[in-house]
Amino acid sequence: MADKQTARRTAKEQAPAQTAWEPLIVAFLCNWCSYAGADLAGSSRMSYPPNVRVVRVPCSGRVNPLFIMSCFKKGFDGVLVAGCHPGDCHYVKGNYYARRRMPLAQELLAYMGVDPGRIRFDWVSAAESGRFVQVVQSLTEQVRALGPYAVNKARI
Amino acid sequence: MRGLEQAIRDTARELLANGRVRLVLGYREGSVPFRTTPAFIRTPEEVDRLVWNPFCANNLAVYLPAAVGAGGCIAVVAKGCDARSIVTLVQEHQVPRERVVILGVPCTGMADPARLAGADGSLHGTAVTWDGEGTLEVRDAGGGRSVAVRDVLQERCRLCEHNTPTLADEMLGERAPAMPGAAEAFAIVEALAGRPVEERRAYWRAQVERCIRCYACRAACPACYCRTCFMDKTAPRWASKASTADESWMFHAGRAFHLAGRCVECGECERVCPMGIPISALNRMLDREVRERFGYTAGLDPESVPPLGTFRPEDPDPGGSEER
Repeated sequence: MADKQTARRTAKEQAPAQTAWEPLIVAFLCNWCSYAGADLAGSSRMSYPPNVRVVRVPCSGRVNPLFIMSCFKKGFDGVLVAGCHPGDCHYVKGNYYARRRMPLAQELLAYMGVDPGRIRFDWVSAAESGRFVQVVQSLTEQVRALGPYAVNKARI
Repeated sequence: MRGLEQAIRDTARELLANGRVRLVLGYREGSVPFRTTPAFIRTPEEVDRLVWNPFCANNLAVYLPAAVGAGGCIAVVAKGCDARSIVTLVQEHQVPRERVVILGVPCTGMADPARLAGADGSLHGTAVTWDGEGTLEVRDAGGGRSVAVRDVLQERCRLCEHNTPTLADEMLGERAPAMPGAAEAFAIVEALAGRPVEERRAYWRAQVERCIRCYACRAACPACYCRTCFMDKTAPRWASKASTADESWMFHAGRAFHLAGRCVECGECERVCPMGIPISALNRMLDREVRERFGYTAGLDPESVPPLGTFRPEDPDPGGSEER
């Protein structure tokens, strides 16, 4: 039993070394626009890089800059924050607050050594499935070019 | 400037005697000649303990929310930076404007005790007297010498842009001359921002790695008044208690962002840091950014709204939308 567990764990630890590195990106998508846009991309059978892990948030204004910092601390390589276009916010003004907050957080993290290309803040409406695909594609390529962020590996 | 000390005492005595305030926050002599300690003066008899000299470093605004919370009106001896901190507290509804009496003191900068140390780098046995103007007489094992306050300024004071309080109920002196480094307040930010991203990362990692997480920066900061700091939360647990580079990075990045558009650069965080981490280089960077983006400088106008608590529909759209 113990051997089996050890074997499984060892296999898991070795797995990343055997496969090529793939960027891992967290996408915070607003429930009313961007998440629906991503959903439409899926139901329209559009393909986009499988590197994003989607977190559905009620509004782009819900995205605390600490979320972004946490992602990098935990070893993700990039972060996407997407919300409704200005004027279209379900909560009227949440995205306006985000539009002040996010670029500032990006600037702070850039100053602290997180390449600004790893963070993307953008608008994707519920109808813009193509745009969602395009944003994910371009961010994934950008992050791939920058390489792994890997805070934890840097320490070892 | 001895006159300032007298003016502080006279005004404090009057305010306490006529019942206008129940407490005066000021400075009194510390246990060594190159330090002062915060004074909490409650009766007119105690007023003569108040002092004013180039070692009144503490930002007294940090005590204000609790003092006001305990009731009554509070008078505060405020340098330029302290007054700006009070403006921030008023703006953010932590201190009702009518409950605080700002005793504005035009500040000519505080001396850095570390720069008064003798040849052996020690302050042990050092005696310092101030001539009431701009000179300190320092006596230590190596003999006596005269030092100009201007030559031993704390860095934050050298770079100060608002050394004369911008808001005061009682102004206790004439406007002080501008500080020598006022025009280069952001030089350190420009120097760092000009380096490649990997270097910046290595730099900040090495800096935060030294953090022992004593939270002295947070305790000394007038803007850090949250009853529960994000670092003390267990759900979500933003960072663990371990003082590793990753966890401390989270603390410093998070704290810097929480002060964006609110920090008045009093520099207390950096002064109290036992590890010498250049914390204000983070705050200054955000301050510069906020000034450029939103045309807003913290701590000047109690009627204005902090830039991250508001928006304009015509704010610029995010970059990275190039393929629209």
